[in-house]
Amino acid sequence: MQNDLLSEKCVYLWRLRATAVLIIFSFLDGSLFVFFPEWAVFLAVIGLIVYFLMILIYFPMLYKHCGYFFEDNIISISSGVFIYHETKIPASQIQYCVISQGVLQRIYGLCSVRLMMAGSFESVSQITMINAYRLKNQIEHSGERHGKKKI
Amino acid sequence: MEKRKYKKTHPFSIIKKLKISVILVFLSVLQQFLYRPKDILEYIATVGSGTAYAIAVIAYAVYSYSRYRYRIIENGIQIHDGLFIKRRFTVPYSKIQTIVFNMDALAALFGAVKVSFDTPAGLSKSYDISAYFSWKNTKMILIKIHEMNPETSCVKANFISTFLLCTFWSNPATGLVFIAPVISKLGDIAGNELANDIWRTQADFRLRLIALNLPPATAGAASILIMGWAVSIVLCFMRYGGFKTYNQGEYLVISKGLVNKNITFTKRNCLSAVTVEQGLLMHMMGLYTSGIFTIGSGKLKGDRSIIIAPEHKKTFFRSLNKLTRISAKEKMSVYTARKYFND
Repeated sequence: MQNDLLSEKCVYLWRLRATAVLIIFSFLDGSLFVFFPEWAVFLAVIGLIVYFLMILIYFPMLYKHCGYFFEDNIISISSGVFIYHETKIPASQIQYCVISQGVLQRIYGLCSVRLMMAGSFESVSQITMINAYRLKNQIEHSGERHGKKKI
Repeated sequence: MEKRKYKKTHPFSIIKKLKISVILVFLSVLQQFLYRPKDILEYIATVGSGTAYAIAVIAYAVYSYSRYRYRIIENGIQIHDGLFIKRRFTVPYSKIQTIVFNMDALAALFGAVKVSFDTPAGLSKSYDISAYFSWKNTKMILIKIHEMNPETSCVKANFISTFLLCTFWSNPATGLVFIAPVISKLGDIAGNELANDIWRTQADFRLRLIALNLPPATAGAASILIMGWAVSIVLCFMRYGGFKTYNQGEYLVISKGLVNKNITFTKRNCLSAVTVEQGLLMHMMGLYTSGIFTIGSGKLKGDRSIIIAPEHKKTFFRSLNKLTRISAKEKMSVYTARKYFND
């Protein structure tokens, strides 16, 4: 069973997003400093500690614990560092797949695949375009074979 | 080469994208006039910001329209969409359960028809694919469907059934929400005389109710509610007029609407259930109506479209048997559609 990990570049993307959140947080903290300087300094220190812990430790660990694989017409998506979460979806239950690419994802050549099911959806995020199309084709061909078998 | 095979939808889609933004643009412009800038700098700042916003909104709508492209392939419809977040997906024909053709009067002026394709997928309240296409292309699709599958088992609602349907399905609040701004607007366009005449009619009606020994306050409230309900019935009639349901090949087709025509094709093997309903008023009048459920969730998905307008028992079950194979002897409950809809 080969577990396909997400792209290595996803760690950089997560770090970029965390930095963007930190910048926004800094603006808010700066405005808070005018009224409550002690609280603002305290929050700034906490924010910086959390930021460095996330970019140096949490994101690399998250990358190792996230993945997906497709076998026997079932796609399994796993994620989570402290709370492990795994979803198994039969390919026949997937209506269609949506490949989406945000602005930051375009910088690193990454995308997300949203698996649309009846009444819900699941996402496989931060994978390369090649892997995304490969997964999409695997699901579609598996669905066709399943449909033919049913008939 | 690949890009040339993708087609764009009808340009009327731009207006659809501007629909909500238009209100914001007008609010912005209105604000400029109410603020009444005193010098040239204030004038440039206020009008300039409003104009910049309007230009940004229009540019966004036009560019979004140009980014939305579709392609018909062997097994489905491919869509490329998105401005900041690009989306690519293919909806397979086998997964499409509902096709809706919406021909509204405004779009018809521009030769456009709104066509929506829906699958059971996702939690969204909107259709999976919904866009404006040219009337020529849409007509070709409809003709092709008609040629491949003849119309059978047609159940057409008569005027009384449609009127009863509108009466049961409308409420005073809808009418009141619609009527008040319309009358005010009429006053602005056609002169205050017309608006005053309408309000005077309402006051006369109230006096007539008082003459029936109703207390004035009750008569006032009743006259407003009745007026609102009457307007709501008219609006509902525009929506359900010409109500017709028939089978066409693998589809159950619901056709309705006078000014805005709506034709819904639903695959019969995608139906989850058929309901037989009877509200309190309908029970008192001995009427029944029927609706369908499809797979999915949300407002538009899990569709509860009416397939038979209110009818008396005998006529109702004859119509139901015509469209499905459910007979009057069956117990009235929610039926599993697959048992009756699969040929």
